[in-house]
Amino acid sequence: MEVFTDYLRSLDPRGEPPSAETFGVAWDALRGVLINELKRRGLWHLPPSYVGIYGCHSWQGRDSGGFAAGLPIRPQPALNELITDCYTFVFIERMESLRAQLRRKANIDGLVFLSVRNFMFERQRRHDPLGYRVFAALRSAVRAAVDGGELYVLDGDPRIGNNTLLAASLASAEAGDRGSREAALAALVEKWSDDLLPELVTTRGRGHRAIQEKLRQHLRRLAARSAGPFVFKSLVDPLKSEVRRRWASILEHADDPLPIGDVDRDYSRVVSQVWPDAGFEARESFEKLVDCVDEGVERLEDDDKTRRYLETLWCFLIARIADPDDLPARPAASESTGERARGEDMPSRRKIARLLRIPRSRLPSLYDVLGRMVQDCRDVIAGPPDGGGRSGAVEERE
Amino acid sequence: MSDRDLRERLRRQTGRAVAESIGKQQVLDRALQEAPQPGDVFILGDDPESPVEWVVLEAGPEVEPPIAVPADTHPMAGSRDLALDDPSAGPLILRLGQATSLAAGVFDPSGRRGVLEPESLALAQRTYRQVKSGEARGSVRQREIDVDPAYEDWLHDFVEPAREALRAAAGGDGTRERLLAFPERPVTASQDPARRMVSARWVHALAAALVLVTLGLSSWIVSQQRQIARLSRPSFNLSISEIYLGDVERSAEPMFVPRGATDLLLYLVFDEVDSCESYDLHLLGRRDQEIWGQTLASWPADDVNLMLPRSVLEQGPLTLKLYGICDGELELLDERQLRIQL
Repeated sequence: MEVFTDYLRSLDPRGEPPSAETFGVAWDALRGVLINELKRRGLWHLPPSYVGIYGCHSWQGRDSGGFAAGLPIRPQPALNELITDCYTFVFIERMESLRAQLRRKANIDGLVFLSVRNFMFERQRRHDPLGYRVFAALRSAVRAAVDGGELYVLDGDPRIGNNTLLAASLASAEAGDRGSREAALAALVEKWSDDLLPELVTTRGRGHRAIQEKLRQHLRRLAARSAGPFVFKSLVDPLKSEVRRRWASILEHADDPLPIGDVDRDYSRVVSQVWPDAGFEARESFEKLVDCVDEGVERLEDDDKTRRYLETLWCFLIARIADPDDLPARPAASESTGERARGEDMPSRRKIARLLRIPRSRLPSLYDVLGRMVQDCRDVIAGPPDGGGRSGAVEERE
Repeated sequence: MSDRDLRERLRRQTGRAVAESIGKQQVLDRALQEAPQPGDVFILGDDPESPVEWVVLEAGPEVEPPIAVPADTHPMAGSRDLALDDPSAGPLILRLGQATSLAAGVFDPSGRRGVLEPESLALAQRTYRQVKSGEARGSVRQREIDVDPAYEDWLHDFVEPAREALRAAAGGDGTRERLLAFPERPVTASQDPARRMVSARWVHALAAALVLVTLGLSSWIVSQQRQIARLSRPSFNLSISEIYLGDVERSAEPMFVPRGATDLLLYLVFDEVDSCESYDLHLLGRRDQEIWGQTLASWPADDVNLMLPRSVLEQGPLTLKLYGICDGELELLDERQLRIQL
C-alpha cells in the first residue's frame, strides 16, 4: 500500500481541505514512520527535548486508539507536536515539489520516507549538538579505522550506523554474554572523554582531524584488546552519555561552593543576547547569527591567539545554548538582584577559564568582543531598510 | 491550541498548499517555453527514489549547452552549496559544486515544476561563479559540513547517482554533456603542510634545548630538587600561598611563613596564562642557579602544587620563571621574585 502517494493523489485540486478521515490515515502513517525513526536513532527513550520538543519528559503517553477511527486524540503531546512539525516540513512546505514528483512517478512514498528522515536528522543535529558531534566524530574515526584495516564490519551498514557490527578481526568470535561485554566496553569508552574534552565540543573546522586521530588511537587500543564483536551503538551511546555528563557538570557547584562574585555575569549577558527564544531570533535566525559571528571572528584583525580564544569561547557558548539538557539562564530574571538562585545556573568564570584553557582575565574582554559582534549581527540580520544582508557564499533559508 | 484544533489547521493549510501549487503550475504551463531558461526548476528522470531536482543557472544563445545544478532538500549545506528558501520554488539546497553542462534536449518541458524568483537566481548565479573560481570559502559551519560523513553520504547516495544517471541517459542520445570541474577549496596558511613542518621543527629544536638545560644541573641542585620533591610526603606544618602566573599584580603581596612552618606550599594557578603547546617552570636561586624545573606538556587544568622546604626558602631570594612554547616560539610568560618573609 502506498499510503502517502494515495493521500497526495486524493487531495482536492480546488484547495478543499482533506477529509478528517483521509487526513487521519496520513497522520497515523506519519506517526508510525516517526516512531520507527525515533527508535532507529535511539531517541525513543530520551527526552523529547533532544529533538526540540520542550515541556514533556517522554514520548510515551496513554494510547487511546487511532485518530482515523474517530477515537479521541492520543494524549501524547510530545509526539503530536513532532508529527505536526514533520507534517508541515514534509507536506505543506514541499507540496509543490511532491505534486510535481507525483506527475512523473507512480509511487513517491520512498521520497516521503526520505523527507521524514531528513526532518529527523536536522532536528536531532540542531537540538542535540553534543550528541551529534560525538556521533559524527566517532563515525568518522570508525570509518577511517575500517578503511585502514584496524576494524572490520561483520554485519550491518558498511558505512557505519548504530547497528553496524564491528570487530578487530574477521574471525572474532562472541565471548561471554553480550550484556557483560557491552558493560565492559562502556566502562572503557567512558574514559575516552578524558582527552577528548573540551576540544570535541569547542573545536570547529580545522581541529576535527586531531580529534578523529585521538579517537582512532582509542579504537586501535580497543582492537588490540580483542574484545569480540560489538555494535557501533555500544561505542557511541556511552561516549555520548559521558560527554553530556561532563558538559553538564560545568554548571554544578555542589562540591565547589561558588562565591557570588565568581558567577560569570558576562556569560549570562552574552547568552541572553544570543538565546534563540529571546524573542528576536527564531531558530533559523539563530543559525544565521552563528554564521555571522563565525565570519566576524574569522575576519577579526587580531592576533591568532585572541582569535583562537574567541572561536573557543563562541563555540562553547553556542554549544551550551543549544544543549537540551542544560538550558542557560534565561534573560527574563532580574539583572540587578544577583540572587543566588539565578547564579546557580551560570558557570563560574574560573570553571570556564579552566575548561576552555583561556586566561581568566581575558574572559571579560572576549565577552565584550563577542557581545558587540552578536549585536552587530543581529542588526544585520534584522535587515537595513534597503533589504541588504550579510555577505558570504550562502544565504540561509528563512 | 488543542491538538484537534492544530490538526484542523493543518488540514486547511494542506488545502491551501495544494491550491497554491496548482495555481503556480497553471501559470507555468501557460508560459511554457520549449527551451530551458535560467531559474527553471526541473524534475528529470523517473527514479522513484531520487529526490534530486535540477535548477538551470545559465542558458540561452550565449551559453550552449545550458548549465544546471542538482538541488534537493537535505538540510546540510556545505561550502559549495547554496541554501535557498525561494518564495516560488520553495526550500532548496543547490549543489553548486556538482554543476553540469547538459544539452537543452535533456530538459523535458513536462518536468519543469517551478521557476526561481529573480533575486534567488541572481544570488545562485553569483555564488556559482564564486564556487567555480574557488573564491567561495563558506562559513565555519559549512566547512564543518564538508567533512561530515552524513553529508558525504548524501552526495554519494543521491546527488552523484542522479548526475550519473542523467549523463548516461544523455549519452545514449549522443547529447553533448560534460561535467564541470571545480577547483578544490584553497588551502589556508594554517593548513599548509610546509608551514606546519617549519613550526614543528622549531618546537623540536626548542624542546631539545630545554632538555640540555635540564641535564646541566649541578649535583647541588639535584639535592635541592630531592628536598623539594617531598610533595607527596605528609606534612602537617605548612604555610600556603597561591601565585597567579601571568598576573604579576595579583600575587604581589609578600608570602608570610610562620616561624614553626617547615614548608611553604605554593599553588601555581594557570588561569591567567595563555594557552600554549607546552610550558617550562623554573625556580632559580642565587646567581640564577636552577633549583627546580618542570615541563608541562599542556595547559594544566588544575593548579600545579610546589612544596618548598624551609631550608630552600632560607637560602635567599628565589625567582620563578615560566616559559611557554606558544605557536612554535619560546616565550617568557612570567618572571617574578618570590617575596617570602620568614
